[in-house]
Amino acid sequence: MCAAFSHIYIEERARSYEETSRILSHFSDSTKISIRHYKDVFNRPSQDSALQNESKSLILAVNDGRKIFDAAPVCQDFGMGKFYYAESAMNCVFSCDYCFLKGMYGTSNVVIFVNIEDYFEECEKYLKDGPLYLCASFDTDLGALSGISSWQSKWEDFASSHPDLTLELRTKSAICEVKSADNIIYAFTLSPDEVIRRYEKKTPSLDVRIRTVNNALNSGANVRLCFDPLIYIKDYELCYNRFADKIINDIDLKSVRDISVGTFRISSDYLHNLRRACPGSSAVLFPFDREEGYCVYPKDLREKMMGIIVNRLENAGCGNKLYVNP
Amino acid sequence: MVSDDLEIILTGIGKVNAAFACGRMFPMGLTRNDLKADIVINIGTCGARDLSGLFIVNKITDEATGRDFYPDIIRVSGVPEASLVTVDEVKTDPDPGVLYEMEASAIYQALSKLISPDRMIFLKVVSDSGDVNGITTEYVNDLIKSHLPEIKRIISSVREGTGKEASISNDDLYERLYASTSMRVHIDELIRYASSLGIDGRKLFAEAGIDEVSSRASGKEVITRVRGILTHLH
Ligand code: SF4
Repeated sequence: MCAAFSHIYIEERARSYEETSRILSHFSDSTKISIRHYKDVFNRPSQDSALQNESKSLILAVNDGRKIFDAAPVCQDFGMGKFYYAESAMNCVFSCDYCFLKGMYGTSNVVIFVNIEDYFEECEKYLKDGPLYLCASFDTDLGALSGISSWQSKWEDFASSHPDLTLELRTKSAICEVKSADNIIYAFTLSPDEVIRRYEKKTPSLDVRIRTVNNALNSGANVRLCFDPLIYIKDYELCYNRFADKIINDIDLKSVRDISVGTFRISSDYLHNLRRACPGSSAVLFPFDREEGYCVYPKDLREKMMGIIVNRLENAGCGNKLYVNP
Repeated sequence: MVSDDLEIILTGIGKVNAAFACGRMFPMGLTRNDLKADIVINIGTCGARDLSGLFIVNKITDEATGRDFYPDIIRVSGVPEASLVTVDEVKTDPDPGVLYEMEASAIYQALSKLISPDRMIFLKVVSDSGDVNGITTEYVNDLIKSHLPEIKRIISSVREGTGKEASISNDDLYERLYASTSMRVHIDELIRYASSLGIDGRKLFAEAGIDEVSSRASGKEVITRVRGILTHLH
């Protein structure tokens, strides 16, 4: 997928990087603007992220700050004890109404940090202390950027030569190439078409995502399926049951490494921004319960929604592969 | 005021005058929320070495402080873009490809806490290449006039893409439900959620027994019932 960016802001110090030239070669028609620091654009006060969403800009920058972070406790660690994420890009070319990035950042513009080698250096420091579980597609969807940026394949190459690193690449995109390696996990987020059409703007349909999952499985890649977040919609029982039928019929679940299931939840701090970014979206206007700093669906609804998917997957013999988010 | 939704303010020359004009336009005490439907268009002339015509500014550098500011170019299309430097004195030897003038950075800074960067639009017409001798008011007037059709087109396209949001008051619901401040927040949230689903939330309150409410406690019960309906739709 090659996104269109009307404007590309380029940090002066990012110009000399190969990745900058590679990315710019895709955008001869975009207006290019030199900037001193990405924060001068990305962190401007009072940005209208809903409007920016209609016409995103790209920022190419050098990250001279921290590059690898501990994930929040609410994130599923898949039994790895602790997991980290690398922030090699911020924001996404897709536009899911419920995306936490919309709540976290006050802008829809996308940043790609072009100094990937510095990320690898930081990673190697962590690896000196033992094995590392790292999500490289956390504050973005790297797969969706793979038409313009080489970061997904660079991370794959880095993981191939560092067996102590377990790399998770989460995506909703139709990535064409995957690497078959024990320590690389492709995590595909799947949703019913009703949810995709209404709330996961610009993302591939369920059929395309299933085809991508099957291609990855056929290539021998490690595949994780994420039914997370489950989003409440009218007639959700019917909709998620139909969805489960399709998944069970169309994907060889025996070959899948593991499966995560969770209902939508977001830090209460982010909900206000999220609602500003998607002012008419029922996905974010839902009257959530507040529990321990997070906005969640009411307990009975959560349990019903989870129950549908969990029961269907257990009945399909996948009970031992399930990671359930509370 | 030139019409009920368009006001023209003459800033005068230089950053101090420009900042003062912004202060007059939006007096103290106004918040971002009060101004969320307002758009500011700064129209003026500038110097440039090798450019001519009308430009929309995508980057403003304040020469004195070295700070950069970036208006978002989302609402206007089809107008050539350029970066601009705001100077304190006339620039007699402009760098190529850059516009020079004396107000934009002050306007951006004065308004950036109140107005989003897509709602600050800077339109500049090149009047000279650094030599301002012989530039008269009449010349500037004629120059701007010659670009008026473009400027008018920009103003109308910007006007079309905006508009004051119609806000529906729930005051009557608050009153009938004996609503406290937190209950009001819940009522607004439920009405907005219902509306996102294409449901008339006010009707739901009627169906949930608002007519029988005689105390804050029974008001709360109605809110809980409406919430239950909206969060368990079949
Ligand atoms: S694909 Fe993921 S990162 Fe991208 S907008 Fe959707 S939820 Fe956010």
